[in-house]
Amino acid sequence: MSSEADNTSSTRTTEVLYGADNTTDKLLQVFNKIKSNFDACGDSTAPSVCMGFEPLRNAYLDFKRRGINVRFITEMNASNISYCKELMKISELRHLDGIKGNFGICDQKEFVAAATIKEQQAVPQLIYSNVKEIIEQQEFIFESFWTRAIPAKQRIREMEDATEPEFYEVISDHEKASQVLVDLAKSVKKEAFFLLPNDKSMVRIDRLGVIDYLIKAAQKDSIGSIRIICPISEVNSEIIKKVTENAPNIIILNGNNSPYGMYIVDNQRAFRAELKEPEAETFSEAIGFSVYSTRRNTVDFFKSVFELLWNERKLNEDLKKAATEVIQNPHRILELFINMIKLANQEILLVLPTTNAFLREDRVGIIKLLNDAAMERNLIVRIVTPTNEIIEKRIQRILVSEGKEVEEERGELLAVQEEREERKRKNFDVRRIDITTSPSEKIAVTTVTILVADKKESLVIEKIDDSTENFVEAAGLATYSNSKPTVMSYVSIFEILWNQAELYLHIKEAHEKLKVQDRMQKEFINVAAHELRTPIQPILGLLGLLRSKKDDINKQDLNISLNLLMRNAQRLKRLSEDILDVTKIESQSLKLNKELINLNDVILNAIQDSRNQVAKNRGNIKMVYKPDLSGHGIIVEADRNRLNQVIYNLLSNAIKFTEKEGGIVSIRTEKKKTRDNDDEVIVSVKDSGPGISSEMFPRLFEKFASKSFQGTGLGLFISKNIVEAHGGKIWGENNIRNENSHIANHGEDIEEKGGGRGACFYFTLPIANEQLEPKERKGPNAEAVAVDDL
Amino acid sequence: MRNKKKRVLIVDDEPDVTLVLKQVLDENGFDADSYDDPRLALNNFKANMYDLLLLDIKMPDINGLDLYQEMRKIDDKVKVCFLTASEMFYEKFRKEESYSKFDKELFIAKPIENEELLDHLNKVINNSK
Repeated sequence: MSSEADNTSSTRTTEVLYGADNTTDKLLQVFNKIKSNFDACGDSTAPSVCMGFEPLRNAYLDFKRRGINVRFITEMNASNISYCKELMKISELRHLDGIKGNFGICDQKEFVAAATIKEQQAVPQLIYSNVKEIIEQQEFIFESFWTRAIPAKQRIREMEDATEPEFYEVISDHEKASQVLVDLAKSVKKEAFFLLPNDKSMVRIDRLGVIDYLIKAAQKDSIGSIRIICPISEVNSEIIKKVTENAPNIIILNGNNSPYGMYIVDNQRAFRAELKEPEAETFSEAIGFSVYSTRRNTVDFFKSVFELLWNERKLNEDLKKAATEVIQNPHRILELFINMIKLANQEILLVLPTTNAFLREDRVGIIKLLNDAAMERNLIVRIVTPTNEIIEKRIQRILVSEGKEVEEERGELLAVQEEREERKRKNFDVRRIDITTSPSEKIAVTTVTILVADKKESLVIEKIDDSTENFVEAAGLATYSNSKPTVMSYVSIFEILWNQAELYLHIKEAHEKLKVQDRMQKEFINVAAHELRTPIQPILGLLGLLRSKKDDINKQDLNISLNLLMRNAQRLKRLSEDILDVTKIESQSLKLNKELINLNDVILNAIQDSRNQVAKNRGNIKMVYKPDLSGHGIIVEADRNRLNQVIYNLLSNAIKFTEKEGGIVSIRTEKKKTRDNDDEVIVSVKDSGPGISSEMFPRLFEKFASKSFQGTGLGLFISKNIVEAHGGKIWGENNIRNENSHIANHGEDIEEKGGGRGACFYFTLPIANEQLEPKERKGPNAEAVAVDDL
Repeated sequence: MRNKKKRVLIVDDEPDVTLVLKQVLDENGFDADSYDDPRLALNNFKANMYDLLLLDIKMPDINGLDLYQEMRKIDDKVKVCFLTASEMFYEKFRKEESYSKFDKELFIAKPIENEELLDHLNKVINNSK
């Protein structure tokens, strides 16, 4: 084979072959002979012929197997890229723009060329030559193409970036520059950043249609961002209006005048034009030199300059926006008010100047909005407002029931409800400032409504007419601000009012408490005075009488008189002691001299004391004592006299309210375990009187609660305090006939001769678990049941 | 007989008070009746029986003022003195519109000594004649 090839090359011929079969045969024949190099060049169709026409394709693939060095130049474009990529696998492929002619040089010995080729088809006409000169010429042509061509990979990158080949062009032709700008504006696909040098420049580029192209681009779905920095003035206000109306996604920032305009489109092309004549009417008249570039570096640089300016302008704009804005239109104020609440996402602070302001804002739905903010969006809502009855009711409704109805409808679980209530408690807080008690409304309470959202925005609304129910009518000027110092000063005003409101509440509560205490104290003094004065009257009167007729008194009268005097003097004694005890209790200076004592002894003493009372009544009241029989005597650590006072008091009350004939007063003790498993004794005193009236019940242990005009009305109050000072409890009940009562009617077999069901008073004492010295044991032993018939 | 004895009705819920007051008045030229149950006093009350009512104010069931109003319906000429140990009531009456017609002199503070009481009653009885 090789010798044959050598032979063929030695005969120097140049021939032209026609017909697909012939040309293909010839090509394959030539290709088969190649030993080391094949240099080929072809137009953009060539790759499809080489790789798409089967016989040639196989030949090319064979090159690779045979280790042939293939260099290939073509014009790579979107339609042949897939063939090119295949070619790249078997050859070193380069791209050259607009290459024409198709030829190949094999081993620097043979030359083939095709005048015309068609995609994926055999070559219709082939020139073959092995003439050395021709080959040398063609070799030279190939090499010069080769050096100008760019590697396929670079070409592919360019194509994939969809970039045109990079260039950097200085344009001195102003008309051409205008055209470049128009083309740029037309071509915007993703983004456009325009820096315009002065206000009039926007008018000039608008005249070229540039603004309209931008608007059109902005209206496309695929658009990214279009940003313009331009000094804004009356000159271009109409155009800006056109832009904002037709393409609100084009952002325009107010800029400073600059010596040039800059236009960057799709991150690929940048155009910069000097401004020579700022006031010129047309673009081409206004500019000086301009630069147009697709170079990556240039575009990046321009873009970074634009971004820098943009950020600086944006900051400026934000700062300017942060300045306080005065709003006069009350509808706009209301809208802003509502929007601020709706858009807040952390916290809303609201100060309302008057009760009417609250009602007005409630009427336009603001209170509801605030409630929703707290409940649905979990915002913290705090309100400072003066209140009245209507507002308190409204607040209560918000705090308690609002939102609950919905839950009930949904049949939500109790836990969910509780969670909502918890959230409400946490998120929604109202504090009251009472202007009616403030010394001066002007000083004490702000006369404006203050709304602060997220500590970032504030809205302060003056009221011009507080009498109207209509928000819009009441609103005067409003100032909106998002400037930090302003907003924060309103926040601190709010906090001061908030704390003041709390302080006020504390003071008010304390004041109320003092007022109640004061009233009770006065009442006590009045009643005490009445009680103390009353017994003095008969003493004073009787002593006067006795003095005037001291020589003329019979024995019987004297006896009656002495009894009366004694009775009233004793009453005074009792009263003064009781009042002294009350005073001690109330000044918390009641002292107990506690010792270990046998409860039994104390009860027996008290029974003995109250016998006198019964005797005095000259009645026939039966007294029964039933001590606990479960063990030895009950030992308590107590003040003997005070304990006696309690028991005597209960017995004496029982006697007082029990009918004189056939009434029964019984006392019993019973050991029990407390909830904490401690030992305690329950002492109960039961009578067979009319029982406690429902009207008396809640006031039983209050001072002067008694309806008895003989008692001091202080006994139960003092008893309660003594029992509690011993760590016990005291209470009263009306006896119930059935056995389910707390302690069923004392004696199972006690007949209720009196007919009334009677009352029973109980008190408990902790039992001391220590033993008494034997000598301390006195009085009847535990088994004794003392029954006194009197 | 110089003058017919002045008839006085004493009502006070404290039996010892009525007992002593009746004695004091009886021994000093008055003709006194006494009740410690105001209801009973009202039930037994008739026109032209008494020149003067000496009433306690703080009583169970019906207070002295109401009792007086009721008795005035029966006898529109009878005079009254209120004998009270209560400061609170005393002040309150004079403040309230319906009782503003009562002269300050008609209120007597309990306790009072016999001479003073007698002077006071005489003054009230003789005053408006």
